[in-house]
Amino acid sequence: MIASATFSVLSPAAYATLPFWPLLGAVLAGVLIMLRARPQHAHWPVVLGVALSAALAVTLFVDLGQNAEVTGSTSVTESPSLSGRGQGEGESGDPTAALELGRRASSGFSHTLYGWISLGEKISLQNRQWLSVSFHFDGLTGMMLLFVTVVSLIIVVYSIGYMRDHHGVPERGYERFFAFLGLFVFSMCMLVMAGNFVLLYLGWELVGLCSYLLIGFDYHRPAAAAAAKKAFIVNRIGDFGFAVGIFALYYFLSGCAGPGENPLDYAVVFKYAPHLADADSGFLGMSQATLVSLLLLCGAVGKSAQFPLYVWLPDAMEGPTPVSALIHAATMVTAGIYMVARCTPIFELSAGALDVILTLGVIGAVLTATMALAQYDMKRILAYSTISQLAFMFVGLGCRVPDSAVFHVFTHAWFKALLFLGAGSVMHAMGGVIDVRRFSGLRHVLPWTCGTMWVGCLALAGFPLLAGFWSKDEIVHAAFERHVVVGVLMLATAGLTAYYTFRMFFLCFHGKPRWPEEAGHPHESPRVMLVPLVLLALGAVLAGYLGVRFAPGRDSFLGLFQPHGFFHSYLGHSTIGHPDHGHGGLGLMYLSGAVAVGGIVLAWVRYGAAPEVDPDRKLLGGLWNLWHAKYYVDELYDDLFVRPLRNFGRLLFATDNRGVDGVLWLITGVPRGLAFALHFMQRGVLKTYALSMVLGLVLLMLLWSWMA
Amino acid sequence: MAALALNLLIFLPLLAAVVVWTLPERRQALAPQLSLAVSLVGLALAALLLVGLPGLARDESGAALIGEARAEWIVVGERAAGGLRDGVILRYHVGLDALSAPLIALTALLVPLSVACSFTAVRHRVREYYAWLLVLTTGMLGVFAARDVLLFYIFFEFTLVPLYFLIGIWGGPERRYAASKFFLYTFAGSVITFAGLLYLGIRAAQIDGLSVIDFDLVRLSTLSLTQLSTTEQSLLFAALFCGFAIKVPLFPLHTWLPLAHTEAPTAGSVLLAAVLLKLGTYGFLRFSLPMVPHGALAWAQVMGVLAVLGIIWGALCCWVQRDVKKLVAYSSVSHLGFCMLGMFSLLPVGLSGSVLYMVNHGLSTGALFLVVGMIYERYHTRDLDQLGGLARQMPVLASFFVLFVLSSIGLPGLNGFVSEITVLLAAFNSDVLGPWYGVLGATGILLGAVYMLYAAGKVLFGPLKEPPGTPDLSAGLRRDLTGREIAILAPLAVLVVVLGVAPRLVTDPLDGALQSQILDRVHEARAASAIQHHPAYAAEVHPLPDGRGSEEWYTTALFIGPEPGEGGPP
Repeated sequence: MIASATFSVLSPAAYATLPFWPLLGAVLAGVLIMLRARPQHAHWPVVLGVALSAALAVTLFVDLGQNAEVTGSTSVTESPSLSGRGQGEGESGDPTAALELGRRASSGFSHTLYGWISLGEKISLQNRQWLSVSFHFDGLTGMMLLFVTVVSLIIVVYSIGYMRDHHGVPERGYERFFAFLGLFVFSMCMLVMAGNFVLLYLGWELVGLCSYLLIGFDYHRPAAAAAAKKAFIVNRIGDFGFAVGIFALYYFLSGCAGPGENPLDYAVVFKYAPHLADADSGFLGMSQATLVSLLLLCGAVGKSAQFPLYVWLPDAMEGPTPVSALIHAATMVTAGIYMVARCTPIFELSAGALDVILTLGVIGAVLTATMALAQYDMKRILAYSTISQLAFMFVGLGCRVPDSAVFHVFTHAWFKALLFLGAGSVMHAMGGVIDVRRFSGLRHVLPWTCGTMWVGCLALAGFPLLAGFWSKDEIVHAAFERHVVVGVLMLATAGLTAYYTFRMFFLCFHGKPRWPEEAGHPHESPRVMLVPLVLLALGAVLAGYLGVRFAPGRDSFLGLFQPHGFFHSYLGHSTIGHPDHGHGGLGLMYLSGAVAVGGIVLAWVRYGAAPEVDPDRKLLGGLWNLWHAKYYVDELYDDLFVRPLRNFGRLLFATDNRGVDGVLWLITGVPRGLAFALHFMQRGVLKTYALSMVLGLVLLMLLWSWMA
Repeated sequence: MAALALNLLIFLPLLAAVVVWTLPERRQALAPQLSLAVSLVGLALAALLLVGLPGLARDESGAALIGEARAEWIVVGERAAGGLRDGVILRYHVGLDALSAPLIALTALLVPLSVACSFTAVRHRVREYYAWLLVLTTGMLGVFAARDVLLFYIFFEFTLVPLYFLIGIWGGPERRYAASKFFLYTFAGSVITFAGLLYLGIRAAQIDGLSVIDFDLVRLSTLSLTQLSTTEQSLLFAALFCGFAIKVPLFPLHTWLPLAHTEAPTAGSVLLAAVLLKLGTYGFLRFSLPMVPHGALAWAQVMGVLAVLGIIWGALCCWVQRDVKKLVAYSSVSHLGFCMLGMFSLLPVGLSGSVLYMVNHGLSTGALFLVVGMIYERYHTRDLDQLGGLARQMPVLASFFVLFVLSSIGLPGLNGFVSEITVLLAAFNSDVLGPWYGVLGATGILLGAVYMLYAAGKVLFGPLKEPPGTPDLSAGLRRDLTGREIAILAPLAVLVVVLGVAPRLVTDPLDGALQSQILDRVHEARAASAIQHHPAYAAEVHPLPDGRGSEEWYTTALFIGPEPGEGGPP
C-alpha cells in the first residue's frame, strides 16, 4: 500500500536523522552551559547542526523530485507528469476521483524508527497497533523542510551578530538562546516529517514550547514572561481541540484499520478518510468529516494565529527579533496551514468546514490589516501583517487551493523573515528602540538594511514580479472564483497591506535623519547580520519563480509568465494532489498588481516625508483609535473568559474548604455530639462514679434475672 | 535467592530504623548517612529483582512471581489429618509481578531521594525522623509486594502510623490538625474496605465449598463470577471504594490531601504524592477490578464522572492557590483523576496508560515537591506573592523546575504526555465511558498548562522578589542548588525524558499481565451480564446450549461474534 520507493542519493535512514542534528547541537550547547564555558563560541554546535540538516533537506528535496519524476513517468495514467498540469483537472470526474484519492493517500512513503506507544492488541486480530516514531516523505514534506531548514540556518547565523552588543560581547544567556533555537529546528522538522498524527502533535507542542521559552527569553521583564505564558496557553486552547480531533479520528477510523495498519498513521487515515464523508458523527448532526475537520482546525487556528485566537502573536514580539523572524513569522506559525494542507483528504470531504476556514480567513485578514494601520511598533506592524498573510493562506485553503496556500507559506517565509531581520537590524542600531515615531531618515545610516528592507516591503506588498505577488495573486484568483465578495475583500486587504507596509517603511527610512539618544552613534550592522539579509532578499525576489512557468505568449503575464509551475506539480506528489485552479484570466493579475502599486503610492503621498504627526490619526479619529486599541479584543477576552473562570476556581476552592469539609464536620459531629452528651458521666467526681456503678450493677442484675 | 532479596528489600529498612532510633546521641550525625545507605541498598536490591521482569512477561501462565516467599503466619482452627479444618489462615506471602513491579521500582527510587533531601531540612529529632522514614519504606514496599489480601491490608494501614508522626512532628504550622485529619480520614475509609475484604474472603470459602477461609490474592481474584451475584459485587465494590477512593483521592473525597501534603515535611510530601496515593489506584487495579468485575462495571461510569470532575475541579482549585506547595498538592487531585479515568475505560491501552500514569505522576509530582522544598529551605515561604524572578538567582533550579512543570503538563517527548494521551484516547474510545469523558478529561491538559505556567511564571520569572532576610543559607546551602540537590533531581530528570521517549520500558512487561489478570475477568463479567440482560441476543448469537456458560464462550459471544456458518441472526 505504501510505496516502498527508494531514494537515489541517500537512504531513508540517513534522511531520518535530519531532525536530530539540531537537537544534538542544542544538547551540546546545553553541555557548554553546564560546563560554564565561555559563551563566545557557543553557537557553533547549533549552527553546524542546523547546517547539516539544511544540507540533508536540500538533498531530500532533489531526491524526492527525481523520485516523483520516476513514478510520474512510469504510471502516467495514475499521476500526471511533472509538467502536465492539465491532467490534474481530471479529478473532478467521478471514476478518476477515487483513483486520485487512492493515489494521494499512498503518495510518498514512510520510514519507521521504532514503536513509541503501544495501543494494545485488537482482540479479534491478534496484532499489535502502534503509535510509532515514523516519518512521512512526500512533496509537501520536501518543500516544507527545504525552506524551514534553510531559513532557519540563515536566521541562526544572523543571531550570532544580533545577540551581541556593539563590542561583540555575547549577551547574557547567549548559549541558552542557541540551545533553544536548535531545539526549535528539531521540533519544527519533527512536525513537518511526522508520519502519524500523534507525532505531528509532538512536533506541534514542542514548537509551542520553544516559542514559550524564546518569547520569555528575557524572563525578568514582566511583559516578556506574560507574553510567553499567553502564547503557550492560547495555543493550548487550540491544541485541546486538535487533540480531541485526533481522538475522534481514532474513534471513527480505528475499526477500519486492517492487520499491520496503525490507525493514526497518515497513510491509513487518508486511505480510509472517505468513510468519514457521509457518516453521522452523532454531534449536532455533523458528518464525521466535518466534526474531525473542525476539531483539527482548532489547532490550526491557535498555532497559525487566526481569528479568534490570534491574540498571542502580537504579544509574542516581546521575544528577541530573530525569534520573531524565525518562529513567529517564517516557520512555526505556518504549521497550521501545513497541517490543514496535509489533511486535505479529510478537509475536502466537508464543504462546511472549508467554509468555516474561509470565513475565519476573511475576517482575520481584514481585521488585522486594519489594526496594522494604526500601530507604531515596527515589530507589531509586522506581526499584524503576518496574521493577515496567514489569513490569506487560510482563504486559499478554504477555496480548495491548498497548493496555493502552501506556495504563499513558502514565499512569505522569505520576505517576512527578511522584514523582521531588517527590523532587528534597525533595533540593533537604535539601541533597542523600535517605535517608528522616534526615528526617521535611517536610509542614510543603514543603507544595506534599508535596501534589503525595501525589497522585503515590495514583496510583502505584492509588487509585480516579486515573490509575494505570485503567491498572493493565486489566492486572490481562487477567492474570486469562490465568490466575488471574498475576492473583493482579499483585493482590498492586499491594498491595505501595501499601504501599511510602506507607511512603516517611509516612517522609518525616509524624511530627515533623526534618532533617539539610546542609539548613540548608529551604524550599520556587522557583516554576519547583513549577509543573511542579502540572502533573504534574494529569496524574496526569486522564491516566487518556483511557482510560475516561463511561457512567452499573448496569454501570459507581461507576455512571459504563466501561473502554476514547478512548485505546484512538486506538491502534487503529496496528500494535496492537484487541485482545480480554474481560469482566472490575466486581467486580475494586472489588477492586483495595480492595487499593490496604488497602495504604495498612497503611502508615499501621505507618509513619504515621514511626518511627525500621523496624518491618518488626524483623518480617521475614533476609528483609528479603535484600531490602535486592537478593537479591545484582549480586554474582552479577559472579561469574558479569564476572570469568570478564575472566579469559578475560587468558588470551587471555597466549596472544598467549607462545603465538602463542612459535610465531613457534620459527620464527625455525630460522635462529637455523643461524647458531649455523655461527658457528664465522667467528670472525675467519685460520687457519680459510685452511683453509676451501683446503678449499672442493679441494671445488670435485673437483666440477668429477666433473661433467666 | 530472589526471595531473600525481596524480603531484605522490605524488612531491611525496618531493621535499620531500629538501629537508627537507638543510635547514641553523640552519633546522631550518622542517622542520615545510615538511612541513605540502607535506602540505596534497597534500590540496588530492587534493580536486581527487576532484571527478572522481562522473563516474567514471557511467562504464559501469568502466575509466576519474582522473589516469591510464602509461609503460614497466623492460623486459627483445628488441625486435622488432611490439613486445616474450619479455620482462618493468614499467610505471609510476598512476590513481585508485572503489576506491582513498576510501583516497587518507583518506591525504591524515591526513598533515597527523600532521605537525601532531608539532610539540611530536618534539624531536630533527627534520629526519630529517619527511623520513621525507614519504617514508612517498609510499609510501602510491603503493600505492593503482598500476595495475601490481609497482609496487603496490614501494610496498607501500617503506612499511616509513620506518616502520622512525620506530618505531626516535622510538619508546618498546622501540622497537628493536618496529621489527625489525614489519619482519621483515610482510616475511616479503609476500615470499610477491610470489612469488604473480610466478607469477600468468607464468601470465597463458601463458594468454593471449603471450610478454611484464606485470603490468597490469586484465589480471590479468580472466583467463579456466577456465584457472586451482581448486587453483592456492587456492594463489595462500594466497600472497597471507601478506602481506595479516599487514598487516591477521588473527588469529592480529596479534601484531606491539600492540607496533609502542604503541612508534611518535603520527604513526606514526596512519598505521600508519589507512592501513597498509588496505594489507592493500585487497590482499584489489583482488587476492585478482578475481584468484583460486575461491581466495577456497574460503577464504571460513576468512577468516570468522579474522575472527570476531579480533573477539572482540582485544576481550577490549583489556579487560585497562593501557596505553591498547595498548588502542587491540588494538581495531584487533577492528575489522579486522569489515572482513574484510564483505568475505568476498561481498555488495554487505558489500563497500561493508567499504570504508566501512576509512575509518571510519582516522578513528576515527586520532583515538583522536591523543588518546592528546596525553595522553601532557602526562603521560608511558599507564598507565590512573596517570591518572584528566582530564575536569575537560581538558574539550575529554574531549569529543573521548568522541566518538571513541562512533564507535569504533559509536554510530548516527556513522560507525562504518553500516559495522558493513552488515558484520554482510551476514555474516548471506551464503550463503558465514551467520547464525552475523553473530551471533558482533555480540558485538563489545557487547565494544567494554565495553573502550572502560572505557578512557574510567578516563582521564576519577572523581577526578583525575595522576602527580607533571605535566602537563608545557614544550613550550608548555596544560592543555587548544591551538588547534593542536583544529584537528587538529576535521576528524576533523566527518567522524565527517558520514559517520554521509551514508555515501553514500563508498558511492555505490563500488557500481558493486565490482559490476563484484569481485562479477561472484566470481559468475562461483561459477556455474562450481556447475556443476562439480553437473553434473546444471547440465544441468537450462540444457539448451542452445551457451550453456554463457559468462559471461552462468553468471550467469544461478545467480542468475536458468531463463527461463520454457525447460525447467526435470522
